[in-house]
Amino acid sequence: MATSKTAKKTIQRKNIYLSLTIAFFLAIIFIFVFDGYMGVYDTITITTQEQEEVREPDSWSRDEFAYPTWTEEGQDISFRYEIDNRTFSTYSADIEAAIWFGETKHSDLISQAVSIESFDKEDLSWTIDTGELRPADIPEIQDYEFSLIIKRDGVERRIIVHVSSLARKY
Amino acid sequence: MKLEYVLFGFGILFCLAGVGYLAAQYVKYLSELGQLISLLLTVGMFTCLGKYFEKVGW
Repeated sequence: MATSKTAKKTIQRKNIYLSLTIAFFLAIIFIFVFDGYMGVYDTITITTQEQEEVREPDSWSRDEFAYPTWTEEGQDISFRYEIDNRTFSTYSADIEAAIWFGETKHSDLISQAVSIESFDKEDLSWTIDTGELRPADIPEIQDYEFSLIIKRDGVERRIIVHVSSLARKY
Repeated sequence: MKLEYVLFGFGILFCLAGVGYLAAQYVKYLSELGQLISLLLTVGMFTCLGKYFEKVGW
């Protein structure tokens, strides 16, 4: 009788350890999913020439210096910068977006403070007319590039826009 | 018979290496708190697994 009780106890304890192992494993998976979801994420949508490109938050995590895109001279290029606050507190930051030619700042596009409620989103949009951007020292027959740099709370996003010259085409 | 065990061993080793590699890749993107909790849970998981095998009689 006593032996049977002891055996039952051993099996129960064995099952507890197995259950705990499974529970810990599931908890790790949950942490992976939860931690991946939580945070402040930014998405950039670039629209030009009837085409839309979306730069998802996870792509910023890769070690890339900048995201390249292109348009034709004279075309408008629109940017929509979306900040998704997936935290339990309000997120406040100063957002700055500017056009740079190499190491020289050309112009500021936006400079504004945002305050985003918990689990809420904020959109900022602006449009650049590439017809007015050509630097004076670059001949019209030549393509040119500029960088759009967005700064937010120590985070920097860089988009390099290649502008194709129309003079070379026609 | 022995060869089968060797193959089983290799299979288990490769599985563990694969899971370990994937986890290491994913852990890079976790926050520091997430990494700490995951580490503690992993320690707990292997402890319980060890105890389970001990009770089974391994």
